[in-house]
Amino acid sequence: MTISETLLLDFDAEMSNTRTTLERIPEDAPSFKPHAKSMPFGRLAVHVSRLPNFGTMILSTPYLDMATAPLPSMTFESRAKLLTDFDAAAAEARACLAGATNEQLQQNWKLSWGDKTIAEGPRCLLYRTMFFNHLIHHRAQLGVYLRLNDLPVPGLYGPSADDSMGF
Amino acid sequence: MTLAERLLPELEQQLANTRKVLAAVPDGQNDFKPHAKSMPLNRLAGHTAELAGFAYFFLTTPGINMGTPEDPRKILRMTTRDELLAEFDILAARTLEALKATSDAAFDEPFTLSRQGAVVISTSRYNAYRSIFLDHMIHHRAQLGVYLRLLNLPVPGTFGPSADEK
Repeated sequence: MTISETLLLDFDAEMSNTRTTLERIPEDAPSFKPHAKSMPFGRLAVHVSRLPNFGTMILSTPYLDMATAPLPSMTFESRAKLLTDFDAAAAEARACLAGATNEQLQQNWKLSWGDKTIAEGPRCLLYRTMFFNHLIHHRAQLGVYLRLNDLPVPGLYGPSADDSMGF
Repeated sequence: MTLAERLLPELEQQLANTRKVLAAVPDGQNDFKPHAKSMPLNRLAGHTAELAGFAYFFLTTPGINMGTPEDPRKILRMTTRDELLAEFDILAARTLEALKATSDAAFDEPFTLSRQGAVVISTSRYNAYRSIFLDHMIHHRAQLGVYLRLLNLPVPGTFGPSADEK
Protein backbone atom coordinates (compact mmCIF):
# COMPACT_ATOMS: atom_id res chain seq x y z
CA MET A 1 0.00 0.00 0.00
CA THR A 2 1.37 3.46 -0.86
CA ILE A 3 1.57 6.20 1.78
CA SER A 4 -1.23 8.03 0.00
CA GLU A 5 -3.49 4.95 0.08
CA THR A 6 -2.80 4.55 3.79
CA LEU A 7 -3.63 8.19 4.50
CA LEU A 8 -6.82 7.96 2.45
CA LEU A 9 -8.16 5.13 4.62
CA ASP A 10 -9.67 7.38 7.29
CA PHE A 11 -9.91 10.54 5.16
CA ASP A 12 -13.45 10.04 3.89
CA ALA A 13 -14.86 8.92 7.24
CA GLU A 14 -13.33 11.90 9.04
CA MET A 15 -14.43 14.41 6.40
CA SER A 16 -17.93 12.98 6.58
CA ASN A 17 -17.82 13.29 10.40
CA THR A 18 -16.68 16.89 9.96
CA ARG A 19 -19.48 17.69 7.53
CA THR A 20 -22.06 16.20 9.92
CA THR A 21 -20.74 18.48 12.66
CA LEU A 22 -20.68 21.58 10.43
CA GLU A 23 -24.27 20.88 9.28
CA ARG A 24 -25.38 21.42 12.88
CA ILE A 25 -23.71 24.81 13.41
CA PRO A 26 -26.42 27.34 14.29
CA GLU A 27 -26.62 30.60 12.37
CA ASP A 28 -27.71 32.71 15.31
CA ALA A 29 -24.77 32.21 17.70
CA PRO A 30 -21.51 33.10 15.87
CA SER A 31 -20.23 35.14 18.79
CA PHE A 32 -21.01 32.53 21.46
CA LYS A 33 -17.94 31.49 23.42
CA PRO A 34 -17.94 29.22 26.44
CA HIS A 35 -15.22 31.30 28.15
CA ALA A 36 -13.65 34.72 27.64
CA LYS A 37 -10.45 33.09 26.36
CA SER A 38 -12.22 30.71 23.93
CA MET A 39 -12.59 31.16 20.18
CA PRO A 40 -16.06 32.38 19.17
CA PHE A 41 -18.37 29.68 17.70
CA GLY A 42 -18.47 31.17 14.19
CA ARG A 43 -14.72 31.59 13.93
CA LEU A 44 -14.08 28.08 15.26
CA ALA A 45 -16.51 26.64 12.67
CA VAL A 46 -14.82 28.59 9.85
CA HIS A 47 -11.40 27.41 11.07
CA VAL A 48 -12.55 23.78 10.94
CA SER A 49 -14.13 24.21 7.50
CA ARG A 50 -10.92 25.72 6.10
CA LEU A 51 -8.38 23.32 7.63
CA PRO A 52 -8.45 21.03 4.56
CA ASN A 53 -6.89 23.98 2.65
CA PHE A 54 -3.95 23.66 5.01
CA GLY A 55 -3.76 19.95 4.13
CA THR A 56 -3.61 20.89 0.44
CA MET A 57 -0.88 23.42 1.17
CA ILE A 58 1.24 20.86 3.03
CA LEU A 59 0.85 18.43 0.13
CA SER A 60 1.42 20.85 -2.73
CA THR A 61 3.91 23.54 -1.64
CA PRO A 62 7.52 23.34 -0.35
CA TYR A 63 6.90 25.49 2.75
CA LEU A 64 4.62 28.11 4.26
CA ASP A 65 5.85 31.32 5.83
CA MET A 66 2.96 32.68 7.87
CA ALA A 67 4.62 36.10 8.16
CA THR A 68 4.09 36.71 4.44
CA ALA A 69 1.15 34.42 3.55
CA PRO A 70 -2.22 36.16 3.28
CA LEU A 71 -4.53 35.19 6.14
CA PRO A 72 -7.92 33.89 5.02
CA SER A 73 -11.02 35.59 6.40
CA MET A 74 -12.32 33.83 9.52
CA THR A 75 -15.71 35.55 9.54
CA PHE A 76 -18.75 33.30 9.74
CA GLU A 77 -21.31 34.25 7.10
CA SER A 78 -23.81 31.41 6.89
CA ARG A 79 -24.02 27.66 7.37
CA ALA A 80 -24.52 27.24 3.61
CA LYS A 81 -21.25 29.09 2.90
CA LEU A 82 -19.47 27.10 5.60
CA LEU A 83 -20.55 23.85 3.94
CA THR A 84 -19.78 25.00 0.39
CA ASP A 85 -16.29 26.14 1.42
CA PHE A 86 -15.69 22.91 3.34
CA ASP A 87 -16.86 20.67 0.48
CA ALA A 88 -14.56 22.45 -1.98
CA ALA A 89 -11.60 22.40 0.43
CA ALA A 90 -12.07 18.71 1.33
CA ALA A 91 -12.41 17.69 -2.33
CA GLU A 92 -9.21 19.54 -3.23
CA ALA A 93 -7.27 18.03 -0.32
CA ARG A 94 -8.52 14.56 -1.28
CA ALA A 95 -7.47 14.98 -4.91
CA CYS A 96 -4.04 16.23 -3.80
CA LEU A 97 -3.60 13.32 -1.42
CA ALA A 98 -4.76 10.74 -3.98
CA GLY A 99 -2.24 12.09 -6.48
CA ALA A 100 0.73 12.34 -4.11
CA THR A 101 3.63 9.94 -4.67
CA ASN A 102 5.62 8.27 -1.88
CA GLU A 103 8.54 10.49 -2.82
CA GLN A 104 6.53 13.71 -2.49
CA LEU A 105 5.04 12.56 0.79
CA GLN A 106 8.47 11.85 2.26
CA GLN A 107 9.91 15.22 1.26
CA ASN A 108 10.50 17.83 3.91
CA TRP A 109 7.89 20.54 4.55
CA LYS A 110 8.30 23.55 6.75
CA LEU A 111 5.98 25.96 8.52
CA SER A 112 7.63 29.14 9.68
CA TRP A 113 7.03 32.66 10.91
CA GLY A 114 9.78 34.63 9.20
CA ASP A 115 13.06 33.17 10.48
CA LYS A 116 11.38 31.14 13.20
CA THR A 117 10.60 27.50 12.31
CA ILE A 118 7.29 26.39 13.79
CA ALA A 119 7.24 22.84 12.45
CA GLU A 120 9.37 20.88 10.06
CA GLY A 121 9.29 17.26 8.95
CA PRO A 122 8.25 14.84 6.23
CA ARG A 123 5.03 15.93 4.50
CA CYS A 124 3.20 12.73 5.46
CA LEU A 125 3.84 13.41 9.16
CA LEU A 126 2.91 17.10 9.05
CA TYR A 127 -0.18 16.26 6.98
CA ARG A 128 -1.31 14.13 9.93
CA THR A 129 -0.22 16.28 12.85
CA MET A 130 -0.84 19.77 11.47
CA PHE A 131 -3.91 19.18 9.32
CA PHE A 132 -5.77 15.95 10.05
CA ASN A 133 -5.29 15.59 13.83
CA HIS A 134 -5.64 19.35 14.21
CA LEU A 135 -9.03 19.24 12.46
CA ILE A 136 -10.24 16.40 14.73
CA HIS A 137 -9.17 18.51 17.73
CA HIS A 138 -11.11 21.64 16.78
CA ARG A 139 -14.11 19.64 15.54
CA ALA A 140 -14.38 18.08 19.01
CA GLN A 141 -14.46 21.56 20.53
CA LEU A 142 -17.35 22.40 18.17
CA GLY A 143 -19.19 19.40 19.63
CA VAL A 144 -18.88 20.87 23.13
CA TYR A 145 -20.08 24.27 21.83
CA LEU A 146 -23.14 22.54 20.30
CA ARG A 147 -23.82 20.83 23.62
CA LEU A 148 -23.56 24.09 25.57
CA ASN A 149 -26.10 25.60 23.16
CA ASP A 150 -28.50 22.71 23.84
CA LEU A 151 -28.10 21.48 20.28
CA PRO A 152 -27.78 17.79 19.38
CA VAL A 153 -24.18 16.54 19.21
CA PRO A 154 -23.37 14.03 16.47
CA GLY A 155 -21.88 10.71 17.59
CA LEU A 156 -18.54 10.37 15.82
CA TYR A 157 -16.57 7.53 17.44
CA GLY A 158 -19.45 6.05 19.39
CA PRO A 159 -22.87 7.25 20.48
CA SER A 160 -23.28 10.78 21.83
CA ALA A 161 -25.94 11.49 24.44
CA ASP A 162 -28.28 12.39 21.50
CA ASP A 163 -27.25 10.04 18.75
CA SER A 164 -27.05 6.25 19.13
CA MET A 165 -25.32 5.77 15.73
CA GLY A 166 -26.90 2.33 15.66
CA PHE A 167 -24.98 1.14 18.74
CA MET B 1 10.46 2.25 5.87
CA THR B 2 7.81 0.13 7.54
CA LEU B 3 4.37 1.45 8.38
CA ALA B 4 5.20 1.19 12.09
CA GLU B 5 8.33 3.31 11.60
CA ARG B 6 6.23 5.94 9.84
CA LEU B 7 3.54 5.91 12.52
CA LEU B 8 5.95 6.07 15.47
CA PRO B 9 6.85 9.81 15.49
CA GLU B 10 3.16 10.75 15.32
CA LEU B 11 2.28 8.36 18.14
CA GLU B 12 5.09 9.68 20.34
CA GLN B 13 3.95 13.25 19.68
CA GLN B 14 0.28 12.55 20.34
CA LEU B 15 0.89 10.52 23.50
CA ALA B 16 3.09 13.36 24.80
CA ASN B 17 0.28 15.84 24.03
CA THR B 18 -2.23 13.64 25.83
CA ARG B 19 0.05 13.37 28.85
CA LYS B 20 0.39 17.15 28.91
CA VAL B 21 -3.39 17.63 28.95
CA LEU B 22 -3.95 14.88 31.56
CA ALA B 23 -1.28 16.51 33.74
CA ALA B 24 -3.32 19.75 33.66
CA VAL B 25 -6.51 18.06 34.97
CA PRO B 26 -7.19 19.22 38.54
CA ASP B 27 -7.87 17.03 41.54
CA GLY B 28 -11.12 17.64 43.39
CA GLN B 29 -13.33 18.38 40.34
CA ASN B 30 -14.21 14.80 39.42
CA ASP B 31 -17.94 15.45 39.02
CA PHE B 32 -17.62 18.64 36.97
CA LYS B 33 -19.56 18.58 33.70
CA PRO B 34 -20.27 21.56 31.45
CA HIS B 35 -23.80 20.34 30.63
CA ALA B 36 -26.25 17.82 32.10
CA LYS B 37 -25.66 15.52 29.09
CA SER B 38 -21.85 15.74 29.20
CA MET B 39 -19.45 13.16 30.62
CA PRO B 40 -18.15 14.07 34.10
CA LEU B 41 -14.52 15.20 34.21
CA ASN B 42 -13.23 12.04 35.91
CA ARG B 43 -14.76 9.78 33.25
CA LEU B 44 -13.66 11.98 30.34
CA ALA B 45 -10.09 12.08 31.67
CA GLY B 46 -10.24 8.32 32.28
CA HIS B 47 -11.60 7.66 28.78
CA THR B 48 -8.89 9.79 27.15
CA ALA B 49 -6.21 7.89 29.11
CA GLU B 50 -7.69 4.41 28.66
CA LEU B 51 -7.75 4.76 24.85
CA ALA B 52 -3.95 4.55 24.89
CA GLY B 53 -4.47 1.15 26.50
CA PHE B 54 -7.16 -0.01 24.05
CA ALA B 55 -4.65 0.58 21.24
CA TYR B 56 -2.51 -2.29 22.54
CA PHE B 57 -5.38 -4.71 21.88
CA PHE B 58 -6.10 -3.17 18.46
CA LEU B 59 -2.47 -3.88 17.57
CA THR B 60 -2.12 -7.35 19.06
CA THR B 61 -5.48 -9.19 18.98
CA PRO B 62 -7.97 -10.15 16.23
CA GLY B 63 -10.79 -8.30 17.98
CA ILE B 64 -12.50 -7.20 21.16
CA ASN B 65 -15.91 -8.40 22.30
CA MET B 66 -17.07 -5.58 24.57
CA GLY B 67 -19.26 -6.25 27.58
CA THR B 68 -18.16 -9.88 27.98
CA PRO B 69 -15.84 -11.53 30.53
CA GLU B 70 -13.21 -11.77 27.74
CA ASP B 71 -13.19 -8.01 27.18
CA PRO B 72 -9.53 -7.14 27.99
CA ARG B 73 -9.96 -3.36 28.15
CA LYS B 74 -9.30 -1.58 31.40
CA ILE B 75 -11.94 1.12 31.89
CA LEU B 76 -10.55 4.11 33.80
CA ARG B 77 -12.25 6.69 35.94
CA MET B 78 -9.94 9.27 37.47
CA THR B 79 -9.61 9.31 41.24
CA THR B 80 -6.53 11.53 41.47
CA ARG B 81 -4.46 12.99 38.67
CA ASP B 82 -1.27 11.28 39.80
CA GLU B 83 -2.93 7.87 39.81
CA LEU B 84 -4.35 8.46 36.35
CA LEU B 85 -0.98 9.63 34.99
CA ALA B 86 0.73 6.56 36.44
CA GLU B 87 -1.86 4.30 34.71
CA PHE B 88 -1.56 6.25 31.47
CA ASP B 89 2.25 5.96 31.44
CA ILE B 90 2.06 2.17 31.73
CA LEU B 91 -0.59 1.89 29.00
CA ALA B 92 1.18 4.33 26.68
CA ALA B 93 4.55 2.56 27.04
CA ARG B 94 2.98 -0.81 26.26
CA THR B 95 1.24 0.57 23.16
CA LEU B 96 4.48 2.18 21.90
CA GLU B 97 6.25 -1.18 22.20
CA ALA B 98 3.37 -2.94 20.45
CA LEU B 99 3.46 -0.46 17.57
CA LYS B 100 7.20 -1.01 17.09
CA ALA B 101 6.55 -4.76 16.88
CA THR B 102 3.68 -4.56 14.36
CA SER B 103 4.62 -5.68 10.85
CA ASP B 104 3.10 -4.27 7.67
CA ALA B 105 1.36 -7.61 7.13
CA ALA B 106 -0.19 -7.45 10.60
CA PHE B 107 -1.59 -3.98 9.88
CA ASP B 108 -3.51 -5.51 6.94
CA GLU B 109 -5.14 -8.18 9.11
CA PRO B 110 -8.81 -7.77 10.01
CA PHE B 111 -9.83 -6.39 13.39
CA THR B 112 -13.36 -6.70 14.71
CA LEU B 113 -14.94 -4.69 17.49
CA SER B 114 -18.15 -6.31 18.77
CA ARG B 115 -20.51 -5.82 21.65
CA GLN B 116 -21.72 -9.07 23.19
CA GLY B 117 -21.19 -10.85 19.90
CA ALA B 118 -22.82 -8.21 17.64
CA VAL B 119 -20.28 -6.66 15.26
CA VAL B 120 -19.89 -2.89 15.73
CA ILE B 121 -16.97 -2.34 13.32
CA SER B 122 -15.02 -4.78 11.22
CA THR B 123 -12.01 -3.17 9.61
CA SER B 124 -8.25 -3.53 9.18
CA ARG B 125 -5.92 -3.42 12.16
CA TYR B 126 -4.39 -0.26 10.66
CA ASN B 127 -7.74 1.46 10.49
CA ALA B 128 -8.72 0.35 14.00
CA TYR B 129 -5.46 1.83 15.30
CA ARG B 130 -6.03 5.01 13.32
CA SER B 131 -9.76 5.67 13.78
CA ILE B 132 -10.85 3.92 16.95
CA PHE B 133 -7.69 4.77 18.85
CA LEU B 134 -5.70 7.79 17.62
CA ASP B 135 -8.41 9.97 16.03
CA HIS B 136 -10.74 9.06 18.90
CA MET B 137 -8.18 9.95 21.61
CA ILE B 138 -7.48 13.34 19.99
CA HIS B 139 -11.25 13.99 19.93
CA HIS B 140 -11.77 13.39 23.66
CA ARG B 141 -8.53 15.15 24.60
CA ALA B 142 -9.85 18.28 22.86
CA GLN B 143 -13.08 18.09 24.91
CA LEU B 144 -10.94 17.82 28.02
CA GLY B 145 -9.22 21.08 27.00
CA VAL B 146 -12.59 22.85 26.93
CA TYR B 147 -13.40 21.47 30.41
CA LEU B 148 -10.09 22.91 31.69
CA ARG B 149 -10.92 26.26 30.12
CA LEU B 150 -14.37 26.29 31.74
CA LEU B 151 -12.73 25.54 35.10
CA ASN B 152 -10.52 28.64 34.58
CA LEU B 153 -7.40 26.51 34.35
CA PRO B 154 -4.58 26.93 31.83
CA VAL B 155 -5.09 24.87 28.67
CA PRO B 156 -1.94 23.22 27.27
CA GLY B 157 -1.46 23.92 23.56
CA THR B 158 -1.52 20.73 21.49
CA PHE B 159 -1.52 21.88 17.83
CA GLY B 160 -0.31 25.41 18.43
CA PRO B 161 -0.30 27.80 21.37
CA SER B 162 -3.46 28.00 23.49
CA ALA B 163 -4.82 31.37 24.67
CA ASP B 164 -2.60 30.98 27.76
CA GLU B 165 0.58 30.46 25.80
CA LYS B 166 0.39 33.17 23.15
